Amino acid sequence: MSGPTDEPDLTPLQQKDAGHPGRTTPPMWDAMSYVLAGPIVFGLPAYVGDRLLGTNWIVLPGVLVGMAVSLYLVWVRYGSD
Amino acid sequence: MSLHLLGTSLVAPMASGEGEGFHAPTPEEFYWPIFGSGHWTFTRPMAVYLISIILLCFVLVALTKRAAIVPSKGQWLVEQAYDFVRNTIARDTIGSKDFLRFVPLLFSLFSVILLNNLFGIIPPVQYPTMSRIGFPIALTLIVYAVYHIAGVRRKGVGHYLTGMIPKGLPKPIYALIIPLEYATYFIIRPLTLALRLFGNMFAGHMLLLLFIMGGEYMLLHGGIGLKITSIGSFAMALIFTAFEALIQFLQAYIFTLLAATYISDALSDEH
Repeated sequence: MSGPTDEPDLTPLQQKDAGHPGRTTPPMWDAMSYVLAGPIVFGLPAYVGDRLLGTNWIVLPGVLVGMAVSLYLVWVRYGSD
Repeated sequence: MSLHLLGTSLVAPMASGEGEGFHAPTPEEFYWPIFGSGHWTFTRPMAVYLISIILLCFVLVALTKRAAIVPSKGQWLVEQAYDFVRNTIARDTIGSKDFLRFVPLLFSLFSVILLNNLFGIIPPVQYPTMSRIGFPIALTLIVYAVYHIAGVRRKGVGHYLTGMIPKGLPKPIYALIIPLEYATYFIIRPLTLALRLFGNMFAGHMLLLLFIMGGEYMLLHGGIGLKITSIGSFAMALIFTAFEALIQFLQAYIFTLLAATYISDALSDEH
């Protein structure tokens, strides 16, 4: 808000615009990119590890861990406290 | 595009003498070269995009040329659209202090995406440009460059990169969180931004194509039962056209809103 500590003269347009602090929490569409990122970031190395080691079971825990981490991160960032 | 495909499918069976059954619309039908060859082909969506840009520039300049305090109808429309992007999207997301710098970008994004999306249901064109992956990718690259450069300029490279990690978490968790956060900021966010727009436009247009082509096939090549069912298909096409209009506006809004959100995240001090 305008006050003595701000720039000396706010133009009328700036005064009209003042008081909108911007979003503190991003919209929910952004949380979706976290939910997608988790399984991908942890599932992809797990898949590559599977290919290199010739196994076929590393992918599943990798994806699950990724999902858990991403849900935790969404909770940390956007959860209410 | 729907009209063009209807025409082709009407002509082809007559020429060959016998239709071989219904050919569902395929993604290949979105590829529509005009001239050129190989990677440098000039295609129809490129032409549509160029026309949309020229149209937008022309209309916006013409409607704001003699800007009066008491606006004319055209000027009022442009002002409403501009106010929507400036206030609801830019100012309320980025905050009063820094939002003005980004309003031209956000307004351009919103109007270009909205017009090109709406082209998907306007009869002479009927081709949503954003259903070709290159167009959303190009727009996303611009937004990507803008929000990273804005963040680096505001905070310096070090503080910008460390500011991406939330504070106050138990220490062992950081090993998992840090790759996730960086992957999100640098890879997943632009990926989902482009793919969301592309997927919605592509799938929506495929649906419309399916209903229209299917209805036409049933009407012309089917028995009496199918002819009656074709009414249902055309009715679905009508309903989905209305639904598509809503989705197109929504996708333009979401793209711009997320662009503003990423910019505001890059500029914000708290995390």
